Parts: sequence; C-alpha cells; structure tokens
Amino acid sequence: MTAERVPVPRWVLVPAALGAALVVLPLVALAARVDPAQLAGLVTSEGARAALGLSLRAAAVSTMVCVLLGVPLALVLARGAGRGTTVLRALVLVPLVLPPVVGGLALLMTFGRRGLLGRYLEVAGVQIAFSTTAVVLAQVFVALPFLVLTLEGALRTAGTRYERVAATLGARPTTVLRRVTVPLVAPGLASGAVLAFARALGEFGATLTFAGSLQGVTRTLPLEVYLQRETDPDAAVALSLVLVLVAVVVVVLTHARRPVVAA
Amino acid sequence: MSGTPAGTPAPGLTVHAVVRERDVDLRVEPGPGRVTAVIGPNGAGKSTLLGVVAGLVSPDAGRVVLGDHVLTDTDRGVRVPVHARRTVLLGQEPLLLPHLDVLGNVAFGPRSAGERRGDAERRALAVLEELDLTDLARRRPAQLSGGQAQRVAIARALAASPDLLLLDEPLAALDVDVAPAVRRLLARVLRGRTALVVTHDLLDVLALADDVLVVEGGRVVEHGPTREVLGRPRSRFAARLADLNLVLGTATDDGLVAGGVRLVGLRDEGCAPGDPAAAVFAPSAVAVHVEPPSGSPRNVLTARVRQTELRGAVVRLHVECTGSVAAEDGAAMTVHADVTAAAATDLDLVPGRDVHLAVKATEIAVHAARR
Repeated sequence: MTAERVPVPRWVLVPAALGAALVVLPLVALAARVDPAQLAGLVTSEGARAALGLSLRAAAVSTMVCVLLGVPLALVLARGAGRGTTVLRALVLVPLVLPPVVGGLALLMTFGRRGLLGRYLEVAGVQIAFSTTAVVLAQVFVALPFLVLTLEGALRTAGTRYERVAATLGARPTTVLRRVTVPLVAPGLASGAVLAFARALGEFGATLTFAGSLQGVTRTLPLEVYLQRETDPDAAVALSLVLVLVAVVVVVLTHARRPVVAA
Repeated sequence: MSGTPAGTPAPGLTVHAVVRERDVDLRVEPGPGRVTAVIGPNGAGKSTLLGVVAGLVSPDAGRVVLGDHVLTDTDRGVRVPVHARRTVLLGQEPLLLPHLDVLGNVAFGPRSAGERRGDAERRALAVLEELDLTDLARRRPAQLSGGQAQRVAIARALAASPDLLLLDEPLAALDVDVAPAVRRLLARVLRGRTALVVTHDLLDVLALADDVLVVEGGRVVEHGPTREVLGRPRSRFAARLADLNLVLGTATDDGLVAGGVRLVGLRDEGCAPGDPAAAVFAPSAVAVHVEPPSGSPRNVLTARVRQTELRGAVVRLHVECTGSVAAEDGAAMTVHADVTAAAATDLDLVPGRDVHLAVKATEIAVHAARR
C-alpha cells in the first residue's frame, strides 16, 4: 500500500533548491580547492597535529562533562513540573542563541582572575582562564544545551510507564534510573552526546575569548584554521576539510538511529 | 519459589482512601489469601483504588495497611514509597522492559531487592519453569506474541514475591482466542494469594475471584462472595453484569450439572469435566411453554413462575425450577426468561403458573468458575 502524498506547490521547489545549494555549494568549493597530493602534508604539519590532538581531547572531555551534568539536568527538566522548571529550561537554552563571543566573555567574568568565582580560585592558586581547562569549560558552555534538549525529548517520548512498573517491582529510584530510564533513552543519549561533541569540536568564539590561542594549550583546530587563513590559505582549507569530514560522520551517526526495540 | 501460598500466610489488606478530585471515598477490606474482583462502571474509582494501594496515587485522606505494614496513613504522615510496598501492579499492557530479555525481565524484581545476579536468575528460571515459559527465557520482548508477553509479565510479577497482587484489566488487551489460556494461568497462580483484580469481564470474575467488590460513583456498593453477589446482585452494576442466567455447578462432558438439574451446553476449553463451572445463558434464550415442548431442545426444565416484571415490550419472568436444589442453601434454582408481553398474556403467565422452559444447547456456555 502506498499512501497518497500531500501535494507540495511546485514553486516551493525553487527556494528549496536554492537553500540546498547554499549549504552544499560552499562545501563543494572547499573540497575543490584542495590539492589531494598536498593534503597529507598540510594536515600533518606540527601546528596542525597539535591543534587536531588538542581539539579531539578537549571535545572528548567536554562531551563527558556534558553527559555527567546534562543527564541529571535533562531528568529534572523532563520530570519536573511548575514554573521553576520552565524558567530553568529557558536559561539552559540561552547558550544556544547567545553569540559564542558573549559566552566567552561571560565565562571570563566568572572564572577570570577578577571573576565572580575566579578571584577565590586565584587565592587558592587555581587559574582557569587561558588554560586547556578553559577550552573545556567554553565547549561545555556551548554544547550542553544540545545534549540536554535531545535527551529531554527522548525522556518525554519514553514516558514514565516503564519506570512505574519497575518501581512496583521493588526498584529504588536510583535502580530505576540505572536499569530502566538510561537504557530506554540510550539512543537519544547517544545522539545528544554526538551532537555535543560536534558542537564542542567546532567551538571558536567562546574559546578565543576565554581561553586564548596558545599552540598546544588552547589553540584548537578552528582557531588554527583561522590563524592559517592569513599565512597559508591552502593549509587552512585542508584543515577545514578535516572538520567537514568530522561533521559528515557526526550527521551520519545521529541520523542512523538504532531502534529502541530490537526487531 | 517464595511468595507462594505455601510460604508465609497471605497478608490481609485494609484500605480507606479519599481522593476528592475524583470523588472517591472507598473503604475496602479484602480477605487475606482471597482474590477480589473489583467491578464497576468506567470512572467509578477502580483504578484509583489500585493506584492508592500501590502508592502511585496519594489520597487526600486515608490509610492502607497490608499485613502488619502501614503503607499509607495520611493522619500520621506515613507514605511508604512505591518500591518498598511489596505490591506489584500488572496492567493491560505487559510493559516488559524492551532492552532486557525475558529472563532479565523476570529477574528484575529479585535483582531490585538486592539479590545477586545468579540467585535472581535462578529464581526467575524457577518461575518461568512453573509457568511453562522456559523456552522464552532468551527472547526479547519484541519477539513475543501478546499472550506470551502477558504471561511473562505475570511471571515477572510473581518473581518479585509480592505480598499483594494488583491486576488492572489483565486480559483486556489480549485477543479473544488467547485470553482463555492466560485466564487459566492466572486462575492457577492467584489461588491462595491476596489479590485485587479490576475487570469488566464476567468470565474473569467467574474464573478468578473468590469475592466481588462493586464500586459505583467512588463508593463501595457491594462486597461479598462471588456466588452471592452474582446470584443475588443488589447493585445496579452487578445486576447488569449478571444480567444473564448463571447456574453454578460442576462441568460434565456435555455441559453442567447443578442441584439435580443437568444442562447440555457448549463447554469452553477452560474447564474439564468435574471442574467447578458456571453455565451462562441469556434470559432471551429461554423459551417458555405451557405444554411440554416437542422438537429438538435438549434442555427442558419444569418450573413455576414466581414473579413477573414488565420491561418495555418484554416481560421478564422469574421462574423457579421445581425439583431442583441450588447447591448450598436449599433454595430452588431461579432462572430469568424474557417473553413478549403478547405471549405473556396469551399463555397467562402469572405467578404460580406451571411452565416448561426450553433452552437450546447452543445457547448455553459453560465456563470455568471458582468454588
């Protein structure tokens, strides 16, 4: 049986094609600029390798932090009720719409030497700004909403019926969380984590503002691309292609959803 | 298997629950080790009752005591959390955890109680074996049929060794050809346990329940042994549910025998000859004759009209089967028969009139019942 499709007006196809071209064409242009013979050399220069390594490590740590903080946050948002939850949800989403530079500045005001918390940390001998820790903090700041949003949606879809059954079978709340809730939303958690990883990997503005651009310490791949663009455009394009590749892998991973229930 | 009737005696339950939002004020005291069918119209408060007992619904006022344990007491601020109440709820849908196989699902209760994995799985296997489900142990819930899944859900509930089983229309979502077998299984495993079973199905009441509790408008309107409530219903709902002739007796090869009366009918596969059973037939299926009827009817009873009741164009006759004795209290068996008002007049069917009742064998269904 094939259901009759709802007809789409033909003229819609024109702007739709334009939109698609706007997304695809620049990627094609980028790929076309790269000389395959030079690619390997450009991507493996010392600066590039340092930036790529730092980016992957920082994004991996950021993703872990996002999971550790984001799962409880999503739980509170999905299961909570009342005004407090509504306000909290709005606040958590702020980094999603905030220019990353502003986020970086806000982080600096918090963790910088004279910042809200930074002044006490300074006394304790801890400096966060312009360190790799700052890179991670900046990435968590911008990536957390992606994980929380995705997971909250998954939690709402999963509902609470299984959790109730588990409770009547004698499972304590922590057991229910570990053995029922998390396994049920595992696909949602996975795609949320992948999205957060991707966002962390691409983070630029907040990182530059809050962490600076120190090779091997805070200069992540996007920063390296920006820097190389001035001196060696070919290298910048080659590194960009690496980021495009990562993005493609991420998109494939998040869209190839495994079904919750095995067939 | 722990939690079976062979272990510690089944605890009794006392419930008083007031939920104002739903206009519910229920006082219930189901007997220990007895299965109580909870019946009533939609929205009467049946599921609210189960929710309050399970701890899923907080009453505005009330008290729930199971055995020696006070589970809820609004006066003293007691509210034992759901997981510590030892009351397992089984609903229409099996709700097996999709990420665990059957064994993992059945072992979930014991595991949650702190048993080690090996012990929990051994216990789960024992329950699966008792319920003849061993073959399914390694299947995923998605690989089970509806009937299989509900059986596994029953096994999972039993493996948690609850003090009280709460069943909310456990057979309502099953196909009609699957339900009888699951009902038989439930009848077997519920025996001797304290359980509340919400149902709309007369067959569930007959096969599962020792007692019937009728809830209407958030209040208990009737509570007593199944036989009494269905035999002489005082509440509107029980009367409607039992608006069928119900003859309780013993199943035979081709029907049922009860108090000296032998009825030929269609015995369902749920009861074997010699089992306690109920013959069920509609008042409209009873033909009333003044002379002994000729022709094919297999069931002919001599009887006397006791009472007539006009229901629109139909007259309902309350007829006493002469020569019969209903099993326990020595009263004669009473049967309802519907005839048209014209027939009632023509045949002069007034109280005291001797008649012959004929019922076709195909109109009588014989189902398993509890004694």
